[in-house]
Amino acid sequence: MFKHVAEALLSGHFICPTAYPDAYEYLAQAANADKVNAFLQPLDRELLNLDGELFYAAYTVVDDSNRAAIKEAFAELRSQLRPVVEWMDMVMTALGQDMPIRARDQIRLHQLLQAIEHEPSLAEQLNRLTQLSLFKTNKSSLNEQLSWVLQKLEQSGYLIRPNALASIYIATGKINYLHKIIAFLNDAENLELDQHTLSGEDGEQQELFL
Amino acid sequence: MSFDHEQIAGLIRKLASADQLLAHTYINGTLFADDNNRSSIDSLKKSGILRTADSADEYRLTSDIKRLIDRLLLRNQRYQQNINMAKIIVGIEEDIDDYRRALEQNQQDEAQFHLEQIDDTLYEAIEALENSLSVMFAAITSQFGFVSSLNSKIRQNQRALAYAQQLVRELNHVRIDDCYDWLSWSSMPPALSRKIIRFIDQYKSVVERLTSIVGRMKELLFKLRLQEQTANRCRAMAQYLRKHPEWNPLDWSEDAGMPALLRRGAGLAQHPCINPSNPALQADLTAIVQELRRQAKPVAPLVRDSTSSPLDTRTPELKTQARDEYEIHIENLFALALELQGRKVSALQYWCEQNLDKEVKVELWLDMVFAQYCCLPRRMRRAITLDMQGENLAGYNGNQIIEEILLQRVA
Repeated sequence: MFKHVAEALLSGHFICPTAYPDAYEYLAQAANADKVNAFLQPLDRELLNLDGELFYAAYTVVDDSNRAAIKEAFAELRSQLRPVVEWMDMVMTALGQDMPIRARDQIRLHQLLQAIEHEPSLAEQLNRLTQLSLFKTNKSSLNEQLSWVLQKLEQSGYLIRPNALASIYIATGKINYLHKIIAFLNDAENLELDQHTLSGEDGEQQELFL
Repeated sequence: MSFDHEQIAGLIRKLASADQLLAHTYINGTLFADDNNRSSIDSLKKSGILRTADSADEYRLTSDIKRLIDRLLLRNQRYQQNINMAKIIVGIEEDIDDYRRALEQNQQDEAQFHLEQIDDTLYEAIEALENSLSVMFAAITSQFGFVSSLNSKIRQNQRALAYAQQLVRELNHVRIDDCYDWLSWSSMPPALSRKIIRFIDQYKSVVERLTSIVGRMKELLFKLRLQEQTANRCRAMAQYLRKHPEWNPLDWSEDAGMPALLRRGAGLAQHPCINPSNPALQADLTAIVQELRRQAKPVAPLVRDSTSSPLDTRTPELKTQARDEYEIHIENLFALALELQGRKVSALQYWCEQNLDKEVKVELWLDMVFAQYCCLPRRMRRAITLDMQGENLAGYNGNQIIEEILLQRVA
């Protein structure tokens, strides 16, 4: 298991109970986590744990040898931020839930599709979503569009599908990581999201769904 | 107050005979009277099982029956109990006094009745607390799973927390150690002292567990509020992005004080190689090679990252062509053979005439002539024949030591 965990961490994967249950269980034991951390240290990396839900390897120093890799990882995240946030907002509205989408949450394609089909504004939101870079497609039917979006999220590591034949997806720890990034950007770029109430036109529309 | 056996059995029969009606009322909250059920409803109402609701034909379960079912089914809303522990303790004290008096007056039946009263009261007090605790514990474990929205969960948690804190305060007000004074009665029967000691121990355990539940509820409430904040922030972010389509996060990867959160790399591409000289791997390696051979479409080699180097744009210097002198001599020898048609040209003689003897040994010269002849195009080889002279090697068929090569143009 050590080899599997070390390879996954060095490959930049997030180890969470959904995506890597065995590896997560292995790292959840302090002695194993220490062992992996000791392996990562000479490689200028350390094992980080995000709210007890997620493990990943982070650089301990930033220098010319790793700046390009860090930049590449952040660039990928920046490019995914807008589409994934829009998607989460759409799902929360469609399912009428006030809970954030987090690791281990189930996303049922048919349940979501049913909600979107009955609400033109959600259909419009899904259509807009498929114009964004990550989800870009020419598919026109709602079913195809939604399947495509979920497939892309699976490929990007935000969802996994435990059974390839079923249409149930499960959110991975990468979603939690994205929430942390949103919190970071909110503070670092003074976006004032916490003061941003659901008022005005948007707020009224949300009320109607809930 | 006492009930006879038949009276209790009659009440239970009445409940059983109206099972569907009562289940319907419990689930839907109300029951409407019609011609079919009116007599049953009247009978249940007389027994204190049903009560009238807002309108004349509308009925509900009485609170006693509803609470009984709630308790038996462990309905989550019922963690709140109307427990007034101070009153209960005063009541027990009175019962103990009555029990003592009855015993002193040797009224055994009455003493037995008071002992049962004490037992029931002690049991009910602890049972109510235990029920409350187990329901609260279940609520925490399921994260208030009986409501689905985050908002309701937070509200339920706040209510349960307030109730639990209030209960802890109330229970702590009771000086439970004072109950040991009940045991000061010298001729107390062991049956009663056992009940009292067990009650005190259970009471202390309940307070301890309740305090820990309060801590866990606070922790859960904090988590739920964090989730609420995360959800609100996510929605606000979506709105912000819609309002600012041009916005993109700054490139924080270039910031000197980059947080650990962003110090992630894109990940190493791992292309490990195999040590082919390791005998332990050779069988697997052979299997891989054979499998690759069977592939209809060969796998393209991996694109490996390589570092780029700047292009050298300087004009290269002119270099004189370095020619092989011996090659020129051999070419001249072949040309001579072609020119002198009908005559044999000796390679050995050429070697002597051109003074090559100082530069190259004769065996090597002859080797080079022969090798160069073999490299000639077929057409040229047809134009020149070689007559190789020398002694045949003993014991070898057709092999000889070449001592001279005579070249002649074919007519």
